[in-house]
Amino acid sequence: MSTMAAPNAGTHPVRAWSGVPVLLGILALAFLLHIAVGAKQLSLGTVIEALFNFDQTTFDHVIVRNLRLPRAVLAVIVGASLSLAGALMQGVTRNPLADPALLGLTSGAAFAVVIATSVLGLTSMIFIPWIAMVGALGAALVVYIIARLVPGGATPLSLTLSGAAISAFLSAIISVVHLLDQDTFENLRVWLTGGLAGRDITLLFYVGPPIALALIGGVLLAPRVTVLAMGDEVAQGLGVKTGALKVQLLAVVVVLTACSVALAGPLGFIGLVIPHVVRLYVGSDYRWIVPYAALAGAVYLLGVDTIARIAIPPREISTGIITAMIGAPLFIQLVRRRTR
Amino acid sequence: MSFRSSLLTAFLALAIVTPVMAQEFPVTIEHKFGTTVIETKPERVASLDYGGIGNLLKLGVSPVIVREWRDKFPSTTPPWGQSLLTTEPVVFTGDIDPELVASTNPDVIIALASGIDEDLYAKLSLIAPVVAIPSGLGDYELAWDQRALIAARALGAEAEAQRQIDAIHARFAEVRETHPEWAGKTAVVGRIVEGEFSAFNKLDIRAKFLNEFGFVTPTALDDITETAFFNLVSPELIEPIDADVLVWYGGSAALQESLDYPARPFLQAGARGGEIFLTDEHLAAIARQELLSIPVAVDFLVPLLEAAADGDPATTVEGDLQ
Amino acid sequence: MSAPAHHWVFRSKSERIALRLPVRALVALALLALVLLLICCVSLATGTYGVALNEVIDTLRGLSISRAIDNVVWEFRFPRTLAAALVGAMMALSGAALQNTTRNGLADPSLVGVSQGAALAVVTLTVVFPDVSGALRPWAAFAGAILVALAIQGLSHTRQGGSAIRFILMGIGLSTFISSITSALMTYGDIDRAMAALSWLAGSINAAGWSDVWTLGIWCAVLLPALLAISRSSSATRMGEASAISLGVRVKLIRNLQLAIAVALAAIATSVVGPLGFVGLIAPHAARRIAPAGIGLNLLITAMVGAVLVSLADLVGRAAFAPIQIPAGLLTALIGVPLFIVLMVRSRSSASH
Repeated sequence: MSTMAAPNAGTHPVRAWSGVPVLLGILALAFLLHIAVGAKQLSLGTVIEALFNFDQTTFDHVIVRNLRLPRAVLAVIVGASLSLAGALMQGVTRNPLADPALLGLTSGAAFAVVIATSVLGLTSMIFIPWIAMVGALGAALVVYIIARLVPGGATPLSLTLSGAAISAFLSAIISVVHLLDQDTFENLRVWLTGGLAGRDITLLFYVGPPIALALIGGVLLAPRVTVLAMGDEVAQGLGVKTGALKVQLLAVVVVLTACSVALAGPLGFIGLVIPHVVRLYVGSDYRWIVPYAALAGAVYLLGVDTIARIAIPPREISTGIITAMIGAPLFIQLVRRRTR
Repeated sequence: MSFRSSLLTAFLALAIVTPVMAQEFPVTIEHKFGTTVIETKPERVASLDYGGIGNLLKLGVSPVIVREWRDKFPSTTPPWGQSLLTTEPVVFTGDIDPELVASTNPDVIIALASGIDEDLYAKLSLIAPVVAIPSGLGDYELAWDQRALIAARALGAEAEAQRQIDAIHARFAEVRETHPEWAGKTAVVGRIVEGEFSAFNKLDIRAKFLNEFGFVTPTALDDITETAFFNLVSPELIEPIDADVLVWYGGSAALQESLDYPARPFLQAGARGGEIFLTDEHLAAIARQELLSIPVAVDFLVPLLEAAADGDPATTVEGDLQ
Repeated sequence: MSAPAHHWVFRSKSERIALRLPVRALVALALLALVLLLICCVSLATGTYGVALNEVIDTLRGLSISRAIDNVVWEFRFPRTLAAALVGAMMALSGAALQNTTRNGLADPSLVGVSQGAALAVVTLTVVFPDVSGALRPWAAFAGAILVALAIQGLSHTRQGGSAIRFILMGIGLSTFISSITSALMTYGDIDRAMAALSWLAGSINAAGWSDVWTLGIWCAVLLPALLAISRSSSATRMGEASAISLGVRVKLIRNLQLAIAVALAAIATSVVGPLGFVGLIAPHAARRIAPAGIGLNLLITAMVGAVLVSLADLVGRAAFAPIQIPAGLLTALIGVPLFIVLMVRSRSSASH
C-alpha cells in the first residue's frame, strides 16, 4: 500500500460525509436483522414492539430484549472496537497486514487472562479487562522488538511473522496449562474459542467506559494518523509529536483489543479485513477510514454472527470460526499482492 | 445328629455347592474387539470406566485402579458407597496409560464405558483380559443393567448382579404402580451449557431413568433428537423443554445460572412447582448409572417427583438431600 | 568458506563406488546416533510402571523377568520410542525437502498448511466415516496434504519470484483457514468422534503401537532413498535453473517430485501421531550448522537431528509432569518458536534464501 498519497487524495469532503448516514442506516438494518433472526421465528412487528413497548410477561419480548439484544450490542461493540484498532494499527505501522490478532495482541490478552485465572486464581470480573490489557501490551512489545531485530527491520512482513510466532508460542503454553489444570480450564475453554454465544453481559459494565473512551480517542486521533502514515520525518516536520502520538495510539489499540477479548474471547481477522474494505470507498485519509471502519466493523460482526446462528440449524457455528474462514483467504490475497 | 453325620452333611453340601461355583469359570465374553476369556475368578480388578466403581463395590469387589470422574469423590466413591470400599484404588485422570494400569497388576480390566479403541485394546490385552462393550454400540451407550451384568460375568458374580438388577426393576415397578398418575406425564432432565439448554433426550440414560417411573420426554424434544445423549435447545425455544416436570441437572455451581434462565418464568414446570433442582450428591447418584447408586437415586427422587408432578406449586425449589 | 575440510575417501574394489565424505560430518552423524541411542535408552527406562534400569537391560537382552515387565518394555515403551524417532526423522526430512524445493529457509510442513491438511483429512475420516478402518488414515492424510501443497503452489505463482517471508505468511493464512474448517467439522460432528479427534490433534506419540511403527518404518524406508536420489539431481539446480536445464536436468519434474516426497513424509507422520510442528523447520538448519556436508550426508544428519528432537520432546513431555503427559507436539512448539525467531533474526534479508 503506497504511503505517498497526500491526506485528501481521492476523497471529496462531500463524498466522505455522505457515507456516514448510509452506513448508520445499514448498521441499524443489520442490528434489526440480527435481533429479528433466531431459533424462534418472530415477526418484525413483534421485534419492534419488544424494543419500544416491552412487555415482561410475553416470552417473545423477553427473547428479543434479554437474549438477542445483548448479543447484538456485544457484536456492535466488539466489531467496532477491533476494526477501529485494526485501522489505527495499519496506519501507525504503515502495514496493511496489521490486525490485533495477527500481531499477537489478542493472544497476549487471552494468555494473560488464562494465567491469571488458572495460575494466580484471580477470577473476579473487575480484574479481567486490566489483566487482558497488560497481556496485550506485553505481547505487542515483544512482537515489535523481535521484528525490529530481523534484518530489514520492522517491515509489515516481519511484524506479521513475528506476531504469528508469538501467538503460536502463547497458544502452546495455554494448552500446557490446560493439561495441568483441567478444572479451572473447563470454564475458560469455551471463552477461548472466541465467539458471542453465552457471554456474560454484565462484564460490559466494567469494560464499557474504557471502550467508549478508547473509541472516541481513536476517532479524535485519526487525522494525525494520516500524517504519521506519511513517515516519521514528514510528520515531525509538520509539527506532530510522533513519540507521544504513537504512545497514545498504542494505548487506544491495547484498550480496545483487550476489552474485546475480555468480552468475546480471541476473535481474529476482523481488524484486518474491514479497514481494507473501507479504504476502497474513502481512500487513504485516516480521518475517514477510522470512523468508517468502526461502523463497518459493527455491521460485519453483526452479519457474521447472524450467519453463525442460522447456518446449520439447530446448531451454532462459533463466530470465531467464520471470521477465520472469511478473513484467512483475504489475508492470503493481501500477502500475495505485497511487493515488499 | 451325631457330630460325624453333621460333618458329613456339611461336606456333602460343600461338595454340591462348590462345583456350581467352580462352573462359572472360565468365562467367555464376546465384544466389539473380539473375544475375551477369563480363566479364573479375578482378584485384582481394574476399572477404566467413567463412574465404574459402583457396580464393582456392590458385587463385593474393591478395584485396584479407577478413573477420575467429574464429581471428584475421594477414590471416586460416593458417600453411600464408602463403607463398601476395602482398599484404596489408584485414581487416574485423562488418557489411559497402559503402563499405569500394568503397574497395578490387575487380573481383569473392565472397559465398558471408557472409549478405548482397537489399538488401546490390543495393548491392554497384554496386561490382562479386557472386557469391552458389545459390538454395534457407541462408546458410552451401554445400558446400565447390561453394563452391570457383563462386569459381573467377568467377576463370577452374575447371579448376584441379576438379583440386584431384578430388585431394582421391582422397585421401578413398585414406584410405577404407586404412582399411576405419572404415566404419560412429560419430564425433561437437563442443564445450561453456554447459554443454551442441554436436554437429555430419550436415548440417554438419564431420560430413560425417568421413563422407568412412567414419565416421557416431550414430543417436541423427540422430534429434534438425532443422536444419543443430549440435544442443545436454543434459549429461545420453550416447546422442547416445556414438560410437566423439569429436572435441573446443573448442581450447586450452576444454580444461579439455572434460576436466571430467561425461559424459566414461561415454563409450565415453573408455574406449577414442577421444578427440581438437584444438589451435587443427587447429581452423582443419577449420573452414575450403577447398582450402587440407582437405589439411592430412586429413594430421593420419588418424594421430589411427588411434590413436583402434583401440579401444586408447593414443592421446595431446592431438592433436599436424603 | 572455512578452511578445507578433511575428507575420508572410500573406494570399492573395482572403483565402481567412490565416496568422498567430510570427516566432520561423519563424526557428527555418529555422535548424533549415539545421542539418539542414549535418549532411547532413557526413554525405555522411564514410565509410570516402575522398572529398574538393570531390569530394563535384562529384558532387552532377552532375559524375561516377568511378563508384565516384558510387556511394558517391548510393547509399550519400545514402539513409542521407535515411533518418536521415526516421526522426528520423517518430519525433519520433510522440512529439508520443503526448504530445498521452495528455496525458503523458513518452510516447515506445519507452517505451510501441509500438516493441517493431513489433519483435516484424518479428522474428516474419523468424524464423517467413523467405521472406516484405521489403515486408510495414512492415505487420507496424504490426499489432504497433497491438496494443500497444490494450493500453495498455485498461490505462490506470481510475477515476481516472491520472498521467503511472503510464502510463509501465505502458508500461515492457509493453515489458519484449514484449522478453522477442522474446528467447524468437530463442532458439527458426533461428540464421541469429536473427542477422539481432539486428543489426536494435540500431536502426541502416546498411543503408538507396533503397527504404527511398521507403517512409519516402511514408508520411511521407501521415501528416504527416493529423497536421497532426487536430491542428488536437484543439487544441480543450486547453480541456477538455467545452468541446470542446460545440463539436461529436468528441473520442474525434480522439484515436483521433491515436493511430493516432502508432503508424503509429513502426511504419513501426521496420520500416525497427529500434527507435529517446527521439527521440519529447525532440523535442516541445525544440521547445516553442525557440519557442512554434501546433500546425501546432510539429509542423514537432518533426519538424525529430527529424531533426536522429537524423542527428547516425547521423553520430557512424559516425564516432566508425570503422571500427566504433555504431548510432544506442544513441546516442539515451545522449543521451536524461540528457535524460529532466532532463525528469523539471523536470516539474510527478505530476498529469497
